[in-house]
Amino acid sequence: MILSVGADFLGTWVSPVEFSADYSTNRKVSKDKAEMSRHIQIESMPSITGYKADTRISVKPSEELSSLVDILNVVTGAGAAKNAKVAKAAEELKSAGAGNALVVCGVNSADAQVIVNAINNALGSYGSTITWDRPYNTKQGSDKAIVQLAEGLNNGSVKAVLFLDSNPAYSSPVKGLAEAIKKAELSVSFANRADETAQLCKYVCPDNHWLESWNDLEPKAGVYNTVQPTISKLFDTRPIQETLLKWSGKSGSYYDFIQKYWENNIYGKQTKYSGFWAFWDNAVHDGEIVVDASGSAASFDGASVSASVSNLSAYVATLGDAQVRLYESVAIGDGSWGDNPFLQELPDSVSKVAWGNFIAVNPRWYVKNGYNIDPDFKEKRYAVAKLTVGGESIELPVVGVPGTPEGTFGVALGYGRTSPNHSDLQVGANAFKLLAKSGDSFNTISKASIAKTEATDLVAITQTHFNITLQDLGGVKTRKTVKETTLKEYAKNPAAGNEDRAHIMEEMVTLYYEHTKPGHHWTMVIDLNSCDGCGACVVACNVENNVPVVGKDQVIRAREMHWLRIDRYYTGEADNPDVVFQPMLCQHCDNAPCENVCPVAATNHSSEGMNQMAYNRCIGTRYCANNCPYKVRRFNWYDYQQADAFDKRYGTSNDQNVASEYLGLHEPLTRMVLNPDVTVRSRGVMEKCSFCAQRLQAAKLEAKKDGRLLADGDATVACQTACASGAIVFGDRNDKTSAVAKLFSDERTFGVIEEIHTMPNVLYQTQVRNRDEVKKYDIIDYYHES
Amino acid sequence: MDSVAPNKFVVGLWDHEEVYLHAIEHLRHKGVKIYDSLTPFPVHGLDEALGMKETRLHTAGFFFGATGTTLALSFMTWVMTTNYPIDFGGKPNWPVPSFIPITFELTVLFAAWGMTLTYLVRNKLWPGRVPRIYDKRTTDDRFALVFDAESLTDAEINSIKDACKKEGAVDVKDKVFTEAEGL
Amino acid sequence: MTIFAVICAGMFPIFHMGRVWDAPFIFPIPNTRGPLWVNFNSPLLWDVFAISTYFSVSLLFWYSGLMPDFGTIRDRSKGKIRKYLYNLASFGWQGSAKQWQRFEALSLVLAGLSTPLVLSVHTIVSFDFATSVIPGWHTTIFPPYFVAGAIFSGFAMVETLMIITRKLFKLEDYITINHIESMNKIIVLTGSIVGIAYLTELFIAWYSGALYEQFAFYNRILGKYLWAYALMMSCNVLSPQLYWFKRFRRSIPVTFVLSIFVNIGMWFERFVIIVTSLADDYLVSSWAYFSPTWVDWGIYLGSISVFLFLFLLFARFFPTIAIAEVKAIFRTSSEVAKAERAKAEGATHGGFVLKGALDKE
Repeated sequence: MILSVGADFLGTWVSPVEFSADYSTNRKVSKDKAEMSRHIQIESMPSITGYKADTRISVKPSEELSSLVDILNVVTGAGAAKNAKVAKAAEELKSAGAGNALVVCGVNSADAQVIVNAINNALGSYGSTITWDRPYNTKQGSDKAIVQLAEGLNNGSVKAVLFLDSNPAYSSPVKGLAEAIKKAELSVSFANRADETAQLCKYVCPDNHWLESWNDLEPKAGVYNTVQPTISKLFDTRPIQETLLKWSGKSGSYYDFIQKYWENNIYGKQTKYSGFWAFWDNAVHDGEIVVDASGSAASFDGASVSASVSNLSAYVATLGDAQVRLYESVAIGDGSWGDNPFLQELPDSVSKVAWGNFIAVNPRWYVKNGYNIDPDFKEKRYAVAKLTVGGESIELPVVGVPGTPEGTFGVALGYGRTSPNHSDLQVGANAFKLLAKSGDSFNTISKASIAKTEATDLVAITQTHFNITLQDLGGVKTRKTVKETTLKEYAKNPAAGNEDRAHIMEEMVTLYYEHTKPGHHWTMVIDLNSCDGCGACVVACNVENNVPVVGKDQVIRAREMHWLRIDRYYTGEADNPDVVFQPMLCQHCDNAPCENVCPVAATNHSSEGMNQMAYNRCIGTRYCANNCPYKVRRFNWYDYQQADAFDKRYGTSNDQNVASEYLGLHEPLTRMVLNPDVTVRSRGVMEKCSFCAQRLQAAKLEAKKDGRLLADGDATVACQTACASGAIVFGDRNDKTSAVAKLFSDERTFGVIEEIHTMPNVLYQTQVRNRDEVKKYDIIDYYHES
Repeated sequence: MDSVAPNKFVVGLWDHEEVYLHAIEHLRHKGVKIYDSLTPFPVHGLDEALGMKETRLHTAGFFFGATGTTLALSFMTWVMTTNYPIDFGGKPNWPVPSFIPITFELTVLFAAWGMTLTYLVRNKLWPGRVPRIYDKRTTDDRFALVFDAESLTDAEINSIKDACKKEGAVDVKDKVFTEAEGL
Repeated sequence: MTIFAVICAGMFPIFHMGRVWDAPFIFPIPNTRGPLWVNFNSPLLWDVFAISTYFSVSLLFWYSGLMPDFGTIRDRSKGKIRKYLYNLASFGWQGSAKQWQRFEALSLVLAGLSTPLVLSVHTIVSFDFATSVIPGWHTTIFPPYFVAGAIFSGFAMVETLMIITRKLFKLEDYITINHIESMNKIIVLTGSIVGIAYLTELFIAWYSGALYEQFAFYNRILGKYLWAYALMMSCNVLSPQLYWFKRFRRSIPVTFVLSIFVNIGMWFERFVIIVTSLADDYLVSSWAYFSPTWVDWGIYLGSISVFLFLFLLFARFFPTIAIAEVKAIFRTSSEVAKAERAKAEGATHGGFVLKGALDKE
């Protein structure tokens, strides 16, 4: 039983990759194990964690805080809860039994966290669901210290400041910090790019890129990692560690320093290897050494709880009707990688908006207040509003996000960078300045006011919101693109939610013989229950397969090139919907409609069941894309990667609007991002998911060299390797012992629109939610309601 | 032009196709050999009147069409089953229904082009050919009969001329082509 | 007109190719890829064959009929260059009996071939849609519906051009109001067939019970492209119904305006079929709204310009009416001939051309 209050632990909170992996192991269901954890999310701004929860309680930002008090009251029996839904959740927590529940909270407030501790203490989580032996070392910060730094710089008590992996000039809400940095007698930035802070510093001593230097890490207590350089350094840089060694008058390289440190400090903690060199070689080879760690068991000190409760309640009382909830988007996070075009082009999992942030509002509020200027998404034009928090204001387009309560305005942090040297990367507005100070910390929840402006802006939204059902013509019909059930139903019938598949399979008759797949028959099964829509697979795919970044203008025209996208479907009630995320890629249909229509035979079927593309043969009629029911084929409208010399040779200038032109994919340096195993596509050809043909080929060759048959798991695809929650299973269906072959015949497995007899090789498994009621696939179309 | 072709002619001109047809019949009945007959438009009954054989162009057309059909079917079959069999969308390698449109089109294409080319060759028509124009108005409103006068005596020529006039010719004239004559 | 329209039609797929320079790949020519031939399953390939056959057979039909007329023009034109050029164009036409006999045979067969070819080319174009899987395209009614639509819009386009040409070239005696009335009858007939096809589509979509199909048509008539559907319906189905009245059938202005309506309507028919079906198909996640860019507009307007340019060139230099054909029926079917016959049976010859002056010999 997990209850999260505003903590997007699958997306952005503390260590989301690890949490996704751990979370999903308890959420995988099978016929043998029809049980899973229960997850309740109380949040205002929808997150992927909330959308994946079994029950999502949509509350205003202030109620995120007050619900903590509610839960504490119910759990400790100290009082009654104000919010009935929260009370019910708290009751559930109580009845989960001691040591079976966990409450987490993503609110940046010491008071809130004290209450969370009190709740967890009351639930008996300490020592069971919360352990002390491996605390995280990845994130640490002090809002108080940065304020003090600004004061110190201003009054001259701080004379020198060094910046390493931090960019406070951009990301700190402290007013006047930038001016203060300039006052320092000595200011040094180690940033390897000219970020906002580096631009203010007197000296910039660029650090190596982490792939260029030796390093060691301890992300969690007792987990030691080594980092090897994979490339010699490209620029005139020096690792920060060597710089510090030199400045401190020590000789020797940082590699020797690390080695010495490991010999003196870590070697002794382990017993596996005898002899330092064996230890060291293995540590470098494996990259990780885990030693026993026993943190000091902490006990809860309940003394400050009542003070925290009153502090929090007092803060809640000041918040008023309109409240802002600042959050991090999965793609951009805190903005430190905001200059990475891959991440900018990755649509936000929740809103599907790429290239910029926006004000997320309740769709009903959106319609009521005159923001519904383009209900058909003809242009993807949105009205811009001015959001003011305590004197600071930003102007951003307003986008309706289902699940956001009225009076809540969500804004993503991490945008509005001014330092990237390409104007296309300087998108959105910097919301860090909206962080309001309460007590010693900057709070992501604060009182706000919003005013509509006359301005409008285009938003690069890749999936707009339409009804999945057809309600007229006598009865309600639902597209069974995604299928859902509840755990209870699933325990009774493994095919629950997927009952119609038996009938569909029965109807699959054909006059034709089937082409044999004598060798492998590559198949992918994606568990919708595990997929949390984070988008890691999308980025992995882009990087692996040289998928070009096309820029905001092209994304608005729906010309994004992603081979793999994550579709988001709303189900359930309009104000607080459930969401099913569905990674959608080429389905490699055995009866592929696209193959039939290509006049030049550029796309056809391999004997291993893959739908393959011959880029050289493609003339770009785009008929295949039209005839693809899944709309997963992508067309190179421009020469995004200068694969073809056409434009240069003929001097056409119509590529000026293409991001790659000014994002520099034509430059030798940026072209280093290209994977040499994958061809770059020229302008005018179709492309799509290849099932990572190059990786499969490599795996086959590897097996051949070893003189063995290809084993299950030898061949992996990029998206699969990137999926922390293990939602993607890939393999050879002909190998009856493979994981994918077993899933292929599982009752939960279904193909999307397989009733049109496409016979896809990418299959999905039903989403199972651990709760009582199954919600209808029925969403009100806010945008056309009168 | 053909070097053995005659260069000296008698040309009779009529201005009404019915009179013209009667004239042809009468002249032929008299045993006058008609070298050629020129009309501004296809006159119905002219070929019977001149005793011409039915053209075999239709038959040629049929065979051209049949060639197209055979070629289309056999080529597609060879490509799809023997030369480079590929799995397209799970369809069989010999997808007969898919062949129908192209087979039809190629049949028509071959028939049309074959016939037209045969027509051009047999009619001695090609761009730049300089025709013998016996009278300019034969493409306008005059119906002409051309008689070979090369080997005829003057008396014979005159009798032909008289006969033409008797049969309603509006004009009868001599026409001699020299080698250098163009349009 | 067909020729120029087909030239435009053929240009579109080529313009819309991603790699125009590789357009020859659509022909089955031996290459270094295996050789990788073409995909004979593809309706687009059928289209290649259909359109090229249609184009070249139309060209043959048109040109073989033009040759005698070029001969006529040659013999009537003055000046060496003109004579030379028109002779070149006439292939050295003489008009001998054997030539005419073969000409007749050829025209008969080409006409015979062209008729099914018209049906086939529109059928095959409709296969582009009908054999695909997109709801709103995947319909068996498409072949007959496209053929009727083609005749419908073809007649309308001919009327548009013909009414202008007729007026400018003073061809009122050749193209009479009776011709126009007959054409209008065809338009009301085919327009109604197309209308029935629209309604049939809707009925079948409802009757099929298939969600995707039902949605496609529901969306087509009531969705975000309502305006396009309404335009199509009113121009294509409603406006030709005026032709039930003789007064409108025989009115030149009404005919002209309605012919333009039909052209607009048929353009919107294609727009409705293509755009509304593609914009909202199977997966809701991929729904979008099509908005044309200046490139789209440019190609569209450019194709109209190319067509008009070629047509005007034709009208300037080539006979707009088949001279030989008119001559052949002149004596029997023309209004003048009929009047003559009624007046006096005596004149068995003479008066071949009553209007206009003959060349002096």
